Amino acid sequence: MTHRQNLRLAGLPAEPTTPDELWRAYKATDERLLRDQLIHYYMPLVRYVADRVSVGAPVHAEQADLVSAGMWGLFDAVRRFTPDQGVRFETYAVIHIRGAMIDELRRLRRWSPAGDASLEELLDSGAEEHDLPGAAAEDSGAAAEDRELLRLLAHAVHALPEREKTVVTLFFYEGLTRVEIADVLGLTAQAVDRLHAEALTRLRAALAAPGEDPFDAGGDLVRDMLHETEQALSRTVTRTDTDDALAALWRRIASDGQV
Amino acid sequence: MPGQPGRPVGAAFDALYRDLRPRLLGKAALVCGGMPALAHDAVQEAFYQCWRRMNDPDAEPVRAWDAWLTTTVVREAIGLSRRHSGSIPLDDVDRPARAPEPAALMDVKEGYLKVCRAIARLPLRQREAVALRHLAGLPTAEIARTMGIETSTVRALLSQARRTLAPLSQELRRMGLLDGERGGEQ
Repeated sequence: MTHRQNLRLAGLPAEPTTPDELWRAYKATDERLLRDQLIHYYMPLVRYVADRVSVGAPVHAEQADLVSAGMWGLFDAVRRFTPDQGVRFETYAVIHIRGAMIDELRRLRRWSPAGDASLEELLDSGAEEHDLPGAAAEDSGAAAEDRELLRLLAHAVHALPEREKTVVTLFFYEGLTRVEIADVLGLTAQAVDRLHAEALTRLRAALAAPGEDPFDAGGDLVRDMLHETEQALSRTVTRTDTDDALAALWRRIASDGQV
Repeated sequence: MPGQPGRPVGAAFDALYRDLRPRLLGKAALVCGGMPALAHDAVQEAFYQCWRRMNDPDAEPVRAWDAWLTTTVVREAIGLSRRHSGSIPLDDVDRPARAPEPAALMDVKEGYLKVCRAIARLPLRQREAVALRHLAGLPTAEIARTMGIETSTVRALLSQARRTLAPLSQELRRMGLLDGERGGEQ
């Protein structure tokens, strides 16, 4: 749609037209060919923004993907822009182009503003595993730990404030986009972003924070049980045992020349 | 020869040994799944390292020797258990060949022996996490550093072990072994 040759073949006058004239003509007629000509004229902006966005991107994105996402942003900007309102089109367009590219990056990476891939991978894998693991006390190994982590995560998601829980569930479990979630909840996309970020922070804390497990009602009882057992075992140590063991220890120390 | 007259550090060491050994032995025996022989080795090794450390002018000063010994004993016991891993089936607890001091466990109530067996049956990493948390009293971050794993994995291991152990703690409570027998060391 953006090749000059095509535009010429379509019968557009070939004489150079200034951007201002093009804008006036396009906004007056809403003519598709004029719109395409404007898009063609501003296309270098897309590559310019793509270069900058890809440098700071948290995920590897093909330049072509960014450019094609950026083209939609430019297309959008051309259609919506109202000239003569004191804003340069370039300024206006860069915001749209950049926004479209970032949406694309989020889509590629399933939305990771905080750069925490592992938690999100976990959420993703939890979403795929429809019934979260039940008791698997006997088995050991990494798979069991992963399932355990998923179980903890499911609890942590469950414990989130209602709206954060809804955002996380819709995003990771139902696969809705942020815009769709915003629609469902009657919020702006920015508000959804914020809830999403807060939820991730909470989940990260729930999984990593030192101290007792908040879902763990029987924790103290287990600790008490271990302490009682430890004491019961230590009570069997008699004084003679200790004398003998201490003597043996000194012999070892002496024989190693450590005295 | 115990006592090392004329060596203040030796006398202090003796006192420390007599004071802490029973408690450390209890911890080590539990970490080892109720095997007094392994527990004895772990405690001796920890005190041996303690002596070397006390006499090493280059070592960093230790602020609390009982905490240092507790952590060291638990680590040693884990190391010994690891070396014996696969060879600690639950009935070994009562077998004289592997537990040279069966008399030591004779007075231990069956409920506590059950706990020993349950610990012995835990996968090693769970056992290690449980021991470092509940017997050495380390915070999650420190356990993660010691084991070289993520804090989230530590929590997963602890939670997994807890689900295995929790029913047993209910059972001990029903047997009256969890409340009322406190503070009976020695």
